[in-house]
Amino acid sequence: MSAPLLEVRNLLLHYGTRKGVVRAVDGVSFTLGAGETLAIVGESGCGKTSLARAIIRLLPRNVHRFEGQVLLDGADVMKLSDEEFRREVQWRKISMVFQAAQNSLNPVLKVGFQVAEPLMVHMGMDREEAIAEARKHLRMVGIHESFADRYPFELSGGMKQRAVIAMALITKPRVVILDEPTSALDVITQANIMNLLKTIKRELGISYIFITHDIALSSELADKVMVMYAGHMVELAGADEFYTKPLHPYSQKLMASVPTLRTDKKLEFIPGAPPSLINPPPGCRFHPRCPYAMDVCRREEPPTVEVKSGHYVKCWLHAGGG
Amino acid sequence: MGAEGVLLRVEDLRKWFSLRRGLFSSPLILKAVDGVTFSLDKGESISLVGESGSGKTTLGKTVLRLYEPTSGRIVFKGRDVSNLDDDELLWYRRETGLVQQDPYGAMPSFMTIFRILEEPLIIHKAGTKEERREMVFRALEEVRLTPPEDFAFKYPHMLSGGQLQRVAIARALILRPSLVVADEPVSMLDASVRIEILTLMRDLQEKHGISFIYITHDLSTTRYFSERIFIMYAGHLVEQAPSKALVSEPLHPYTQALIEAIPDPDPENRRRLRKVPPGEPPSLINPPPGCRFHPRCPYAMDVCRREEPPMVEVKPGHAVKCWLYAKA
Amino acid sequence: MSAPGAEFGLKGVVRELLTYKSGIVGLAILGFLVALSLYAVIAIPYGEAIRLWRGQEAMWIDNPRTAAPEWVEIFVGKKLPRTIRLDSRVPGAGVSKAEIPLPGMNMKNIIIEFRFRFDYDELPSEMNLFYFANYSGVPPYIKLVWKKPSGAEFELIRYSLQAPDDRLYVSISDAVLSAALSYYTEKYPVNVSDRVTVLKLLFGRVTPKALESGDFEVEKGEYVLRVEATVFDRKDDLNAKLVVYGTVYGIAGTDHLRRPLEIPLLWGAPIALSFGLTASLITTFLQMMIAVMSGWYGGWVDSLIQRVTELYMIIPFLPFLIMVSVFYKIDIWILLLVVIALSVFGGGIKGTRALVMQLKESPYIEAARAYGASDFRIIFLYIIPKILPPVVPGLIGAVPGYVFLEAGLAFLGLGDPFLPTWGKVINEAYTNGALYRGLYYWVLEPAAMLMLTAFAFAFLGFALDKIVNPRLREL
Repeated sequence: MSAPLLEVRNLLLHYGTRKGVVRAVDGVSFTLGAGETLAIVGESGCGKTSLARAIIRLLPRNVHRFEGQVLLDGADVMKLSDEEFRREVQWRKISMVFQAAQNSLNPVLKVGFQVAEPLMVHMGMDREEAIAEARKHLRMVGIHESFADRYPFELSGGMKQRAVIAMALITKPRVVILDEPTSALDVITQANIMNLLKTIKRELGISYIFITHDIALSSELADKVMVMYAGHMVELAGADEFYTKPLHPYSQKLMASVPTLRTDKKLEFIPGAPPSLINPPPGCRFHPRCPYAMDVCRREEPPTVEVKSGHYVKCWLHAGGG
Repeated sequence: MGAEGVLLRVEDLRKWFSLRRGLFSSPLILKAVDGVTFSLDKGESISLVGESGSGKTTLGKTVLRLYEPTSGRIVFKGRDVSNLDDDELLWYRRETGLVQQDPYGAMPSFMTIFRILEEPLIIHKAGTKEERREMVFRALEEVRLTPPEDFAFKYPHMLSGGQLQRVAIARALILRPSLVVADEPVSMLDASVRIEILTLMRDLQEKHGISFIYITHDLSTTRYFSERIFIMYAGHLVEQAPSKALVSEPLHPYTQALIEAIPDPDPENRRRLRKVPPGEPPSLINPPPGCRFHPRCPYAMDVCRREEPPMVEVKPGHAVKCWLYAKA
Repeated sequence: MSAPGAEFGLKGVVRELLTYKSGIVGLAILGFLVALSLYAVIAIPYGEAIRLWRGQEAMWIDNPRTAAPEWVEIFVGKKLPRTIRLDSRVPGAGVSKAEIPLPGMNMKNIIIEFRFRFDYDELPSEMNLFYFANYSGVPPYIKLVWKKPSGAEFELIRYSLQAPDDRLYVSISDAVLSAALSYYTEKYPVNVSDRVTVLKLLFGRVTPKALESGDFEVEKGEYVLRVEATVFDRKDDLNAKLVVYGTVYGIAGTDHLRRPLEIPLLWGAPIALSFGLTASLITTFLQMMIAVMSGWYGGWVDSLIQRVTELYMIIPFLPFLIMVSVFYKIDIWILLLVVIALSVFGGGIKGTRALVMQLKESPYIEAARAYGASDFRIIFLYIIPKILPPVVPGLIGAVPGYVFLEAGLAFLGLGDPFLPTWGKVINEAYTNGALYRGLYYWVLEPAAMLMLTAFAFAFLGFALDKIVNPRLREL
């Protein structure tokens, strides 16, 4: 087994707000191989977006704690200064497609220019060359190159999303973080975009970190699945195992609550609501909503246990002490 | 299942919006709903499915007379409500209810939950002050916001999205309407909460025998909610069928594409590409001639480019608007 | 999910205001002004205030003219003279009155002695003697004698009373001047400077050098003024009041008519506040209603109102106002009316209208229509509560504008001529050459009050804006 491309160990991100300190990412670890896709699944407020931004170091204001190790090709990039990180890693090795990216295109700049920008900013390429590259990439994502000279408002939602993906790919990164890349897109357009991402993955061997709240959608790309709850990773498993037999009670409930088109199943819902990240419950953070909650769950945070090779669960049901 | 006959009949309904382009150019016409016909029985619940720009929201709001139809008829309990004035429509407002997509936007932020629920009662003079209080508390209990006293005097921003959507449902139901239009009621809620809310609406719908038009872009949720599904594309109804039949045997190429596009959680998904048509829904300002789906349709024929197909009942209760099933 | 900001009740707003420094400062100053206004209204009711303000000399004759406030002496470093009043009708220290009937005649001598200490570092500004005589036939004959701490004693003047309420303006009396001069030039035969005055001779340490230069130091100590009068009927009576005017008075000083400036400064507060607040409230309310009509109904109503508004925005406000007040006699109520009439279609309408148009499309308005709310109900119960919070900071912020407007008009002499307002004080200071004469307090005091008012509302406006507009909280 070759060394993983990306290894995250105990990543922690706490930041301050008027209401208190938000423990957005509270000790998360995972590995990602070359050409592999890790899907990070969770409800809103579970910390998945914060995790993504922590990896690419787009930090919020008032950071209280930002610790852990992020090993890219074996080297810990957390040790780099902000300036060094920006120069060497941000967008060069790791890039990102943001949530509602179609809305974050600058309306007064031409599409081609914006797609070319990362080359000019991060790699110092000159304008002509960069725009030529941009046209190539637009073609690669299925947009005719003449659109490089148009403005964002002239593109449809799906086309804008493709343009943003081109922007994330243009610096030939090793890892692309996709944060809800198809939100606000129609279902057929979404399928087309997922097809594109699958094709790129196969042809370019890029690793994805695919963040979504939609478990069904995550299965479109995921080789590995990580479920996050209240800043913690509660389960990490290979796709084949996860979608057929999830182990953590939250993962199980999540799967059971998703309506499926093709199978007839009784839907369950999870009572209660996700906890605040400022004052999470003691012990296991899911215990107030867990049907199997035991005494120890209320008192102590469970350890992360490797139940099978590559299948991790953070739950007292699977840890010795329970 | 619907009982006791037809509640609502919509005949060739059109709603066009004119967009002014300035002082000297003629306005553009956006044909959001362009010839829709269907009927709804008492107590029946249907899902109206379409992507953004399909006209489904406009259709729902026009049926509720939040817009006045450009042409066509809306007949409710035998009365033609298509062109009535606002004051003539007061009885209709009492008979109908609306649940919107954004729970926070749908509530006046400066009123307590109690006041919000009381408003429809006050407007329609439904009871004395004490009776209204009773009704509000009962409404809160019915949507499982108990104990009601805990919620009644809070402000909307103090409740979660899911709780607030329950309030919206309570508000829509408080006058015991015969018809409720729910426009994407769960799309802004967390996944774990969606099913709860949909289940609640379904239970209340069955309990009170209310007819529901459930508007959504998410086909997966429709089976849990309604007996029939209507598919809308570019201002037209393209297929109407019982839920199970639509999913197992979709007839319209668009419906087929829709179903193919939706993933279920399955690890095999990543190993294959989905066969879906390229492109996006057309602009409603200049829709394509003939069948509006023809530019993307894998089966497009000559006639599809020229003439709009008729709606044909292929099987009992299952109708399609497609030249594949109609005689040219 | 993000939730919109909550609307607080009044208590909540005040509590929230106190979390901002600008809010605290604004509330503190406003509190002070309100307290001042309340005090003014209670201690000197309106009718009384007007009476005092219009009161002419008779009312204020005991006050020094254009005297600075007493606290000025802190900056000057000298002890500045206060006004000394001794009245023979009022028994007390410093005044003695003796009646000595002359035997065998229907006459008597009345000797009134005024005794006082003068230990200040500067000369008094004025000295007057007021008589209160009762006589039927021949008026009393008066002789005035002055005794200084050094022991010098000399006659000032002798004459017959001209009227029962006669008075002697000692400090400007030529007769007294020559009497004093002759006394001293006899002692010191020198060339007397032109700058020598009565007060300098009466209260100064007279030396040959002083007489020549005209610069005198104060002679501190006990002074006596003796009024030796002869009345020609035993039934007659004579009383006198001596006023040695200081150069400072009270907490605010006096103006050219000897009126204490505390009165207009105090009363300026409630007038400014009520004028500013009333004008602002009415204008803002009317503007809000117009904006709502414009935004809600749209169409030709909207177009019409907007064109009228734009017309209004072009009209120059102040020149128009000046024109109106030159032609018509203006009292403060008319002024208020005209100001409101000229502001009602102001630019504020544009902003509120934009908000209304935005709100019109909100989901909760749509929901209200769906459950049958009438246009009227929606406007008043759904739209207005939402537009009030952004309107309030504007309302508060507009108050100082109106306050300055009234002050400005008063300064130009175009305001209400009888009302004691801050602007009027500045106007009188200006027309009496205050700055030219170095009477800075006369201008600075009302100006300071105006600035204070502006600060109060500006700070409050800032804080309120931050509360109402959460996005501004980052700033």
